[in-house]
Amino acid sequence: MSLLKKATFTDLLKGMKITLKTMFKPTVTVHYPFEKVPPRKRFRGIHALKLNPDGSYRCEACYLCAEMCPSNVIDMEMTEGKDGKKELVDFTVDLTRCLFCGLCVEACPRDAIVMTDIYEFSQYSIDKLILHKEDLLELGRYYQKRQRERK
Amino acid sequence: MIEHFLSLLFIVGLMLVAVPPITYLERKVLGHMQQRSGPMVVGPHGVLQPIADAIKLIFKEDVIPRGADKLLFVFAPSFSVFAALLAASVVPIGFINAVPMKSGLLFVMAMSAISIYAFFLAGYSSNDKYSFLAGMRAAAQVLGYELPMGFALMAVVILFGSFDFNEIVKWQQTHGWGIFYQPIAFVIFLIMMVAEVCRPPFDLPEGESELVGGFHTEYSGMRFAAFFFGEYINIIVLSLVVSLLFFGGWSGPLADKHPVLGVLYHLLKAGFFIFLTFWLRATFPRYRFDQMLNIMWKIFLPLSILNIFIAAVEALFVG
Amino acid sequence: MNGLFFYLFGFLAVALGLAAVLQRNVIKGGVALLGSFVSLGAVYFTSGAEFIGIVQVMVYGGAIIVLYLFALMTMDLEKMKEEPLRLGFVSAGGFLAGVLFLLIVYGAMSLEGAPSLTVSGAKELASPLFYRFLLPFEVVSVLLLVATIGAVAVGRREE
Ligand code: SF4
Ligand code: SF4
Repeated sequence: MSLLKKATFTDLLKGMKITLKTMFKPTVTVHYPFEKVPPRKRFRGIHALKLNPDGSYRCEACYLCAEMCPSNVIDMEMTEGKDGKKELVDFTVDLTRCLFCGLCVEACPRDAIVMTDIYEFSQYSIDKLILHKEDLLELGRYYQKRQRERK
Repeated sequence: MIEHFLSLLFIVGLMLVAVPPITYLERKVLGHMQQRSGPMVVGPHGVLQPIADAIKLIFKEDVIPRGADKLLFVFAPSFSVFAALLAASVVPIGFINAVPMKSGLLFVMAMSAISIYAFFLAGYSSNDKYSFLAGMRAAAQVLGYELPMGFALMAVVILFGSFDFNEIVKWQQTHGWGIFYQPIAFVIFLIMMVAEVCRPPFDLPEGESELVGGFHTEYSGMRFAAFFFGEYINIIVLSLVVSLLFFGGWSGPLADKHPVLGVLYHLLKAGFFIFLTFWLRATFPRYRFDQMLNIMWKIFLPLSILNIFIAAVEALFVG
Repeated sequence: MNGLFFYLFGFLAVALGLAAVLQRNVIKGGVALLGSFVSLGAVYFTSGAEFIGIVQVMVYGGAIIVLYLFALMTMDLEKMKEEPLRLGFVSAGGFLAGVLFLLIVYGAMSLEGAPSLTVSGAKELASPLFYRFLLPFEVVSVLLLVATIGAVAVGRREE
């Protein structure tokens, strides 16, 4: 019986039948640059810094996120503000090293640093991958708008 | 004379022009068999993809690795196209017969036998371990498939009583298609044909997963393309031969009144076998090296020898 | 036209044969030998013996050279290069070559002009083989079979 099966190539023909059938099924391809898969709700994309409703910085330059980061991505500069509090001068995120673990977000006591759903951030030059304060705040505005939309 | 020359021009032109669309179709068919859609971006449904590929390949830097055997390295890819085109020149397509030859079938066999040197020499001359192994595999594979293929062909030749393609088709027009007489030879020839052009599941010399790219690991640009030209021309030629030997070639309804229809029939039949190679590629994983040699030497070789006896008995009765 | 190609391929066959002998790199030598065999096949073609020409290409080009090259590639070629020439081998080879050369010259002398060809297809070749010369043919095939079995027996590893 098994010999007969081998001699008539039953198993092989079965496989070929399946591939032939599949050929006429609709494809499942997402044509990427023209179509995109929407990212999941908790997707960890590039970082953003949130602003308070009154427009002041939410981040108080406590360095916790920088401490927490396993690959030393985050760095910041600050001065003493008018009211004696620390104030952010620059906040850099080096995307070339970031592994998108989200530990910085977990660490932040003020919920200032967050991660957006943006995953397309390729650049032609490497220094464009180092995000500064302005970029991050811009992203923060995008994030907050999006958050509101989602609600 | 002029007629032969025109036919030759037609056949060589056809072979060279047909290759890019075939690569496109292959990618489409493979894609759809895996529920992908294949090339889509260049032109509507990606039809211009082969042209984009050609432009890319022409403008690629042509690298000859250090330590390579320059002469053989340059010689190997051109040899692949050369042998394939030589084989193509003797195969008649309908009434278009460039080089009418008494031993046409044997000539195709001989050319296909020496076409393996392209792979072998490419593997040797690249000065690369992976390519070298691929070259060895190509040599072992030719020893595996050549004999069963030859014996399968001998069986049909005994039945038809000629090596001449025109005679073979004439025989089939009076007696019926060859596949009804020689199904075993057909199956063996089909499998050996896949092994001969090194297509999956017998793409051992290429072996993308183990040997990087096999014999063409070190090739780039037009030399790389030349290997593919050779491979696809070989596929077309052997598909034409299969349809000649087992499916009556250009015979079909109304074909004797309108010879052009015969050409069409022949190309359609060959087209099916070209499709079959895509189909096999989408379906089966590669055979392991020892498995390949085992089935060639232990199953198909005895079977093909046995088949010669069957053919002899048939030839006695049918005449 | 045919004559031109006859001499062209004849010249190629001899030149490549020489290259095969003189080449230090064995693989290249094998390739030159292949070229020589194929041009020899072409010589048969130009003199009208189509069938023999094709069989020449198929058997020598397709099978024998592949075997040679396959065996050569599995060997350590660097080691072979260092091997010194031995007087015994050279003289034996030279003696055999000389005998062969004399035989060929003798054969060429006894030919009167170019041989007229009647052997062009498979049938013309096969019917004398299987009718007139059946006995020598079978004896040779038995001899080859003996050689094959002998090779297998020698080559088989002891259990
Ligand atoms: S996501 Fe991880 S790696 Fe990236 S900045 Fe935050 S802590 Fe560092
Ligand atoms: S942990 Fe939050 S508040 Fe502290 S420096 Fe980082 S982003 Fe600013």
